[in-house]
Amino acid sequence: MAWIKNVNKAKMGILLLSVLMLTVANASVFVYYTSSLSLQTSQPPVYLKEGSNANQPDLFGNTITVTVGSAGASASLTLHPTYGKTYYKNVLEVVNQDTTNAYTVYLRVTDPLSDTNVASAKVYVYDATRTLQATLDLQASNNQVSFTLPAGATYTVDVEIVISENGGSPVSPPSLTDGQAQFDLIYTAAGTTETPP
Amino acid sequence: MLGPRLLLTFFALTALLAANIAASTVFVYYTASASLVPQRPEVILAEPNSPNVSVTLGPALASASVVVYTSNFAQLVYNPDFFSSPDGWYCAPSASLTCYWLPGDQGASGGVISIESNTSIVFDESAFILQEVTVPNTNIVRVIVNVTLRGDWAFSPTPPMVYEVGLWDPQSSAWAWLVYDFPSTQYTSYTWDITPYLEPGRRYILAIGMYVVAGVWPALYVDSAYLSIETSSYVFSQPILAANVTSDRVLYARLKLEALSVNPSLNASIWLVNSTAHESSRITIRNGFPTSWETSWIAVSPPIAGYYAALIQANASKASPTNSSVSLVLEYCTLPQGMGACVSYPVTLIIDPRTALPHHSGSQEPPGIQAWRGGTTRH
Repeated sequence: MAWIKNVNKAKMGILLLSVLMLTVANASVFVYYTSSLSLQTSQPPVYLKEGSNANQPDLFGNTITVTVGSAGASASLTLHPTYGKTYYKNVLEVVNQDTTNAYTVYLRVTDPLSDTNVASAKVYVYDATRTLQATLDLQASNNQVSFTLPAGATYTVDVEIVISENGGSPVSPPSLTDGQAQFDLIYTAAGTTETPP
Repeated sequence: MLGPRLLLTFFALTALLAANIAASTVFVYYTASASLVPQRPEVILAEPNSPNVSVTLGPALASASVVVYTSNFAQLVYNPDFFSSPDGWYCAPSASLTCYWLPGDQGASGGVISIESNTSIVFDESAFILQEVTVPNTNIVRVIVNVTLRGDWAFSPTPPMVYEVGLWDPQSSAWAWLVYDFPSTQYTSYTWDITPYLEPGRRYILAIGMYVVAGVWPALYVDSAYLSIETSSYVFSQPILAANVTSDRVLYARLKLEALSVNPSLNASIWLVNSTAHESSRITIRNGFPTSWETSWIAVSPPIAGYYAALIQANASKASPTNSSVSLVLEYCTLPQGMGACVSYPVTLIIDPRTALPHHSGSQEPPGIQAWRGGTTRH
């Protein structure tokens, strides 16, 4: 009987040991270090501004409507083109108010203008000497171009719309089913080789 | 022993993480949108109805292809018949003689111009009908004047008068060329070669009249008059295209030269003229090379009925009727100096295509004064 008791003790010991091993195996060790995140806002180094041709007369008494957000971080253009090529000079300006650092600026189409009656829709970026710095095709999906905006520089933005005359009439406006495009202006410190995600 | 190893591993990982954070790039995103609200064209193109010009317009009248034909022959004066009016001729009357337009005369082909007196002439007098002539500024091969006229008089068996046909040179205040002779009482056609008497580029006045001695009651009737000129080069000078404003406001327009493929001998000028006769500066091509690529801006506004807001004017001369083509853009803006919204229309100008029409057409009236001055109309 004694050996039976010893056997039972051994079983109990194994069982306890197994439970203990399982407990040890499932246990997690958490190690805590402290850190902090603090947000400190600053004025944007690059901002958008209405160009000298903004809100000037458009065709047939309309207005070249340019609306820039109060922080200069968004812009909305409403244009009134006709058949042929309609060109809007200096409707928008891209300003770098950082007089120390240059920035790389990307223009990226996020919603292309896809109407087939629009033969061409382009955004041109010029520097102060009217040297072309970038051309963005508003009809190409995900099209992205970039330019360097020097410290303290202001670049101007022109828009060119070409509408086909085929099927048109001198007494009625061109018919457009999709007359809208959206694009992002993305900037980052100059010199990086990364492209915006 | 494990404690220091764990500590080293931890510091290594922390340093790597810190390095990654330091190397990361910050991108800032701004959004922009463009909305198009299309309009009908505020300027539309039109045919100017010029001779020797063929115009094809786009469906929205926002583009044009223009074909012009040069010629080495031009009718600077072309009055085969004064059918319904004196047709732009001046009258230079004298004390007793003046000019009339008549719807017909025996032996005439139609209407005629007469120079006559209502009474007997007291003193020797002369009177004329006049027409301005500008000779093209190119080498002249031949100039021919042809006039059909007759005389009429009373109280004398022999003509007491002579007809006179000449070219008056206003710059020298003298006759560059003058002929005179007794007229027939029947309509007679006279032809003269006056090539030696003209200089290229100068303005003259063609005069047809009579010299009358005192004491008679004379009349001179002119049935037709021509002055034709043949040049060594092929020339053209006409409006090639018209433009109208479809709104009620002033716009600003200019022409730009985009490209060209031209005869090496081509000399040409292209410019804009608005409804108040204000001209832009000119696009110029000299010996096949452009020397000016764009015109100045001019204001164009809705004209009064019967006129165009603007005309595109062109002149050209070249040694041969070989093909040339010029690509132009008519640009108009809502504000001066290329500001506001600016619209461009393509205009193709083709000079003497290889399938050119025959030359020597020359059926246009000479430009000049459209008022009948100094005389009256007698029916």
